[in-house]
Order: sequence, then structure tokens, then C-alpha cells
Amino acid sequence: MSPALPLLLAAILAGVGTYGVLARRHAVLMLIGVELMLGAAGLILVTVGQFDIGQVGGDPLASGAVLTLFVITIAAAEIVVALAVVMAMFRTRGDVDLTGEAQTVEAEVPDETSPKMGEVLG
Amino acid sequence: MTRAVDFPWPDWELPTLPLPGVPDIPIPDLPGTPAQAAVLLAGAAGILGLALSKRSSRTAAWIAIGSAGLVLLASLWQMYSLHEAGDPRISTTIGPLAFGELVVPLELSASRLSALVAAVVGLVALIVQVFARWYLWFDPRYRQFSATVSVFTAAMLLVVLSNDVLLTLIGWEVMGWCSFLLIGHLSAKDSANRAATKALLVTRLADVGFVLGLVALAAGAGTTAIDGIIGHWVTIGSDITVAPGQGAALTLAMVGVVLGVLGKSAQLPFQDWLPDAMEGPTPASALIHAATMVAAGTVVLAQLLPLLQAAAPARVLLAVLVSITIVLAALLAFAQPDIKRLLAWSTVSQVGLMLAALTVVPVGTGPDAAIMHLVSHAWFKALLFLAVGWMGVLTGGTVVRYVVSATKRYRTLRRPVGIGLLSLAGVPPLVGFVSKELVLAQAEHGVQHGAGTAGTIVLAAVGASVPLTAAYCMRAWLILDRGPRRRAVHQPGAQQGHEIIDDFFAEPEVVEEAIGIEEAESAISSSARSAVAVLGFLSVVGGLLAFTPQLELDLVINLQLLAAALLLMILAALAVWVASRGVGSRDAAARLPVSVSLATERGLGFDRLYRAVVAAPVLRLAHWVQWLDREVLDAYVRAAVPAAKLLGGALEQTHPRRPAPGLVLVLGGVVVLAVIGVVVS
Amino acid sequence: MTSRDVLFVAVGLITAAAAVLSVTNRRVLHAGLWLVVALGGLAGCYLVLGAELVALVQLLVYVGAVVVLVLFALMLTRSGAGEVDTSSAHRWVAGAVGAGVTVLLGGTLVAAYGWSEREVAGPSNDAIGEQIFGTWVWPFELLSLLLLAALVAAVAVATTGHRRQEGER
Repeated sequence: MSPALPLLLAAILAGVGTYGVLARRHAVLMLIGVELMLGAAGLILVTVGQFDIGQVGGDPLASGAVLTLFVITIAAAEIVVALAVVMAMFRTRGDVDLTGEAQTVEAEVPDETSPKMGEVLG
Repeated sequence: MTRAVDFPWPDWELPTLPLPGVPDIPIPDLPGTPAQAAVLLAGAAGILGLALSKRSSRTAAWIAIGSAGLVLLASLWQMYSLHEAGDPRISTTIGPLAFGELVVPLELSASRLSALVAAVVGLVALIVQVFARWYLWFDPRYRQFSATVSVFTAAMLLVVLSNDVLLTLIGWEVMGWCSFLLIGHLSAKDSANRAATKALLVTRLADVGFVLGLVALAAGAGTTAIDGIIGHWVTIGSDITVAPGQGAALTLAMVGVVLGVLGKSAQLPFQDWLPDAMEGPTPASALIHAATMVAAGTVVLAQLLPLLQAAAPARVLLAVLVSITIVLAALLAFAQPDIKRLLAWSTVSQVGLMLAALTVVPVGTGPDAAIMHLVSHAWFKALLFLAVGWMGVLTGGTVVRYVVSATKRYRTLRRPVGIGLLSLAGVPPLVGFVSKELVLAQAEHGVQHGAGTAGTIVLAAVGASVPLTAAYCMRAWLILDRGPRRRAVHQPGAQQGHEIIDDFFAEPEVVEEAIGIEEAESAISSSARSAVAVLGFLSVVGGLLAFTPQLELDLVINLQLLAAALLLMILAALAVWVASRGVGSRDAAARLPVSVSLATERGLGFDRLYRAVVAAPVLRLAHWVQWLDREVLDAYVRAAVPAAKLLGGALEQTHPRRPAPGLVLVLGGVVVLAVIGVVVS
Repeated sequence: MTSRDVLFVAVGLITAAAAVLSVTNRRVLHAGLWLVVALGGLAGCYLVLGAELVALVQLLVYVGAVVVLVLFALMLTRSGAGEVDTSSAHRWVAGAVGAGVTVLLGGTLVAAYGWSEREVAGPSNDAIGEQIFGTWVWPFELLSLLLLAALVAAVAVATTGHRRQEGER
């Protein structure tokens, strides 16, 4: 089969993912866009690995498949941390809207709050 | 003098005994090899013993003793099948591992000698298990003990039968940890905990050299198989030649291995952990001392013998340290105030003899003399330890003042203790005599065949050990077999002026009465007693082993040397006997000054030396590292906090506080840039 | 067009459609569920391409774990009638950027690799296993550390937020 088909699908997924990240306000829905982009990256890696494009004799190190596995693992780690941040944000702000104004925390806890503030922004 | 007398001293070659033909059992084609079965059974018994016996010592004992019996059967079967089939038998364990360029076959190999040692290990383990069932009858932690002994046996069998340094290392380390558990079995006692920790730390420190040495050997050869390693490093012809340009590397690696062996075998400078290890229950001591842990070093070096012969500096180092240990440990054994500690020091000395025999083996001959001494030491030392443990139960302790005239009070003890001590002293025709003469002959043989200075030192040390061993055995026997009569009281004038403060029995009537009461047979289980009897039998007739084809001894016994050794032995024993006369407890060591006694009891202050040389610098280093960590490295981390605060504050001022539109612009810009990049290129 | 091509087009269309729905649907839970379909379709694509192992891992990790996490997070953070999308104009710009990414990436990749038919001959699962534990073993071990760090970080972030809230009450 032609490698163009999966590559085109990857391009579409990347574009849709970008749209998802940009057009959503809800933090978790933005993450869905990020996941789609990561999926696109994985698809490109697998395609290149399966079609022995670019190097003679196929893929001796199995880098396409192995790197895709790595991407999936890293994505899992990323989403865990991201969701933890989202939950912390939900607890402190009551919503997960990323387009809103940044809250100023100084008013609530007057002194020595800078580390905690970083947490809120993050 | 010999020239003057000119007596034609004949040299005596070892005859081969016409053995009755072994019955010709057909060897069935079993699914596994006996080596696999032995290691697996012993290891499984350790796990099953804990898993299946729910608080029932009975179940645990059945599992432990049953599996030990099966292990013994498997190793005997292995000896037989090797005898029939001949060649070393290789068997796999879990299949080869792929470690990049390193070949790790993980194979077991049963050869003539390793099968013999495996059988001895199996036998001693079985006897120890049987004995421990009686000895620890009331111990609530018997299950853990028997399981640990099983695992320990498995580890030793793994070392003995291994054909792969990785397996050797695994067995070696497992043995180290199991010895920690066994020595510290009575964990409520502080001294037991301390002894266990000390044994672990000291052997672990020595293991650093062992691991590095084995890693260097395996890395250089590109394989962990022992024959592969030997084949890579040396070429064995009429003489052993090291592969060109690798002499230094081989020497360094072998020095490391030798250090590890010295640690595990409790030789100088690591000797001090073994006497302290007497805190463990007696069956554990019997196992550790007789057949397993301290002998493991001999086994490993016997497997790597060609490398040891090729690496002259490592061999000389081993020879010198071991020779000093032989003499020093024998001297210390003489002065110990505790029979069990006396036996411990004698173990150190005897293991030294095995290692010494290895250092003088000329090229082309095998380590058979050392292995013979290992086997014989396993038998008589296990016998002695079990008998002394039995005695300790009866008398309430093994310190000299408890055990005085023990064999008179408990007649059943007389035979096992007597046989053990005679064998240890090397009195003909017991097994100790045969093996010790073989070691002596090996040393002399080595001197004649170019072992160099090391050979001379070893010969001197082995020679010196003969009267010293006889001396401490005689001393122990005189104490244990003191007659009920007390002479010192009736001869007050004989020792006036000397302060001999070992006269604990001021009231003879009490002693007499006690003897009368305890003349009655002690309650020992018949199985434990027969186990001891088996060891006693082997200690008597085991010397015949040297004449069977199981050992290939290419030695000539120098009768001159033999006679001299026997004469020295008798003289030493006589001297001890004379010295013991007039001392109430018949303890010849009581003639030593008090300061000397105390110093020997504490192992000549090696404890303090360890602390000064190893512990203190390590602690200082640790403090220093801690300071570095806290004051220097952490300072950066702490400094990061105000830096981040400053940076965050600065960024906060410039932030638009509305992230989404910014993100669109940024990504749009990235796309535009990428388009430009693609189009231009 | 081989049968593999046809199969891939079918699975790929489902994937693309589900992806579009998952970023446009206004009901948050539905968006999450469409993500399940999209990632499952992606696993199907891997299967068609002959990478069975990757497909299985994709199903296990993404559809099995990640999406469940996302769905839980969506359910826990649903604050009622809040708007989930940005303003209309903003979305138009975002759509333009997305389309730009698609065109750019698709154009570049197709231009680089072409339309010509090629043999599908990826490494076997055995080969992948050997490579992971041979060539790639250090990155692989490093990833395990990364996962551990992520776990600890997630717990730390989640609990500090909690304590803070408790403290305010």
C-alpha cells in the first residue's frame, strides 16, 4: 500500500488536534487535542517504521515501533500530571476555564504565598 | 641427621584400593540432571517450608528433612552416574541470557570433584537438619531456621555445581544473607545481632573484591562460563601461559577473587567474624563451618585453579596470608576459654590448610588434596560441633567452667567428642590424619615442583599447624575428660605463688553428686544421636576415600616427613598434658597470663583494628558527604527558590493574563515560520 | 488500490471523523467518548499497518487507562453550564491554524515519501522485544523513572491543592 495514506491521516489528526487545543476553553478538552497530536506523531513513526522508508534494509533497530511505545508511555505520564494539575486548579478556582483572567492570590493569603501562587498558575 | 643415620627412608606412593565393583545399575534417562534436581529441591524446600507449614514445626521438619534426604540421594546418584558415564555433565538452568556482547549460559556442571563435594554438602545438610529438629525442639522460630538452612544448602550446591560465575555469585551472595539470618537466629540477643551484622559487613566488604574480580574475568573473556573464562585467559599446556599482554589484568582480577575468598573463609585480615558467629545455634555453626560457607572459597578457587596458578602475585598473596592465619588461628584456639570458640578458631586454621594446599598445586595436577581436606574437615568438624552443641544442652553452656569433665559426667558424649578431637588432631588412621598428611605431601610436592617462596612458607605453616592442632585438641580433651578426682586440693604446695584462677570447683562434693545424678542418659532424640553416629563413623573410616578413584592424588607420601609430623604431634600433646597437671580444671591454657587470655578471647583486638581502619574512615566520609550534600548541593536548590520568586514576579508583571488568544497567535506564527522553512528549503 | 488500502481508508475515515467530533462536540462527555473512538481507530490503523504490538499497547494504555482518566476528570470538573468553547471568531482563527498545520504537514510528508506503492514489512514482535531490551534498554529504563516521577508529582500536586483548600476552610 501507499505510505501517503497514513501520513495524510497523521496530518489530519495533527491539524484537528491543533484546532482542539486552540478552540477549547475547558482544560480537559484541550488535553484531548494534545492526545490527538501525540497520536499523529505515533502514526508517523509507525508508518515510517513499517515501510522501510529512508533506509535500506528496513528498520533493524525497530525504532518506529519502539519509539511509538515510548511516546505512548510518555503520553500516559503527561496526562497523569496534567490531570492532577487540572484537579488542583478545579479545587482552588472552582472551574477549569483556561481563557479567563488569572486570579490574584495576594488578596486571599497575604504573606509568603509565592510558591503557592505558582501552583495556581501552573 | 638423616644423612648420618642413612636409613633408607622409602617414599610411599598411594595405592589404589581394589574396590568391590559397584553394582551395575542401568542409568535411566531422567528428564533433568541430578545437579538441577539437587539445587531445585533444596531451594524449593526453603520456600515450601515456610509457605506450607502454617505454624506447625512438624510439617516444617518433614519438608526440610525430607528434601535434604532427597538432595543427598540426588547427589549420590550424581556421583554414581558420573562414575559410570565419565565426562563432566553440563546441564542448563534457566537458559542462556543475552546481555549484549556477554555470553551468559547459566549452566551447571557436575564433575568428579564437584559431585563429591555436593554429596558431602548434602550429607552434612541432612544431618544438621535432623539434629536441628531436636536441638531447636522448643524454638518458636524453628520453621524459619529450617527453611533458611534449606536455602543455604541450595546456595552452596549452586556454588559447588556452577559452571558460570554469575551462578557462583548468586550462590555466594545468597549464602552471605542466609548466614546473617542463621547467626542472628536468636535475634532477641544483642550479641547475636551484633555478630550477624559483623559477619555480614565483613564478608560483604570482602565481596567487593570478589565481585570486581569475577566481573573483570567475565568481561575480559566475553563469557561468564567458567571453562570459557579459563580458556580465554590462560593456555594450558605443559606449563600455564597467560594470554599475551593480559598478565596484569589477570593478576588484578585474581587478587580481587582471592580477597573475596579470604573474607568468606574467615582468613586474615577478615578472620574475626567467624568466632563471633558462634552466637548462632549450634546446628547453624556446624553447617556454616563444616561444609558450606567457609569452604565455599576453596570450592571456587578449585574451580578457577588454572587462573590462580597463572597469576603468581595473587597466589603468593593467598599463600602468605593463609599461612599466617593457619598458625595464628591455631594459637588463638589454644587460649580460648570457650570450647565452641576454640572450634571456631580451629575452623579458621583448618580452612587455611585447604586454601594453602591450593596455592602449592603444581601445574597439571588437580586440587584433590584440598578437596579431600574439605571433605574430611566437613565430617569431623560437623561431628565436633554437633557433639559440643549436645554437650552445651546438657551442661548449660560451652564455657570451660561448665564443660569440665563433661565426658565423664555424660558417658555417651565421650565417643563422638573423642573421635572428633582425634580426627581434628590428625591421629592415624582417622580421616583427619589422611587429609592432613595429603595436604602436607601436597605442600612438599609443591616445594619440589617449583612453588617457590610461597611453597616454602606454606610448608612451614602446615608443618607448624600439626603440633599446634594437636596441642589445642589435647587441651580440649583434658578439660572435657577430667577425672572426678581433684588433685589440686591435695597438693597445695605445688603451685603456690602462681595465681591460677580457674579453680571453679571449690566444693568437690557438689561435683561428685552432680556426676552421680547426671550419669543418667540425657534426653536426645534417637534420630539426632544416629546422625551424630553417622558422622563419627565417617570420621573414622572416611580416610579410605583417598584411595578410591573418586580422588586422583598424584602424590608421594614422604615417610620421613610423616614420622616427623607424628613425633611433633605426640610431643605437643605431651607438653600440654604436662602443663595441665596441677590445674584444677586440667586446662593447660590457664597457665597463660591473664592478659594473654583476655587478648585472645577478644581476637587480639582485630575488632578495634577494623573499627579504626574501615568503620571510622567510612563514617567520616559519610559525614563529609552529608555536609557536602546539605551545605553545598542543597544550597543551589535553596537558592532556586528566591530566584524562581524573582523571575515569577518579573513575569507576572508582563503577563497579559489571558492565555488563549496568545496561544493561537503563537501557534499561527509557528505554522507560518514552518511554511516559510519548507518553501525556502 | 490493494485491499489493505481500502481497509486503511475505511479505518482512517472513522478515525478522522471521530477526531473532528471529539474537538467540536459541545457536550464534554461526548467529546471524551468520541476520543475513545478516535484512539481506537488509530489502534485499528496500526493493526492495518501490521504493527500489532503497538496497536495492542495503544488500546491498553490509551483506551484502557488514559481515556478513563480523562472521562473521570471530565465528570469531576463539570461545573454545570460553563461554556466549553472559545468565541466564534477565535474558533475561526484556530480552524485556520489547524488547517494550516494539516496542509503543511501533509504536503511535506507526501512530498517526501510519495504516492508509490511499497511493501509493508515492519519488524516482527520478536525483533521489537529484542530491540527494546537490547538497543533501547537504557531509554526504556529511564522511562520507568519518568513514570515514577510523574506518579509522585501527580500525588504531590493533587494533595497540596487539597491541603490548601482545607486550610482555607
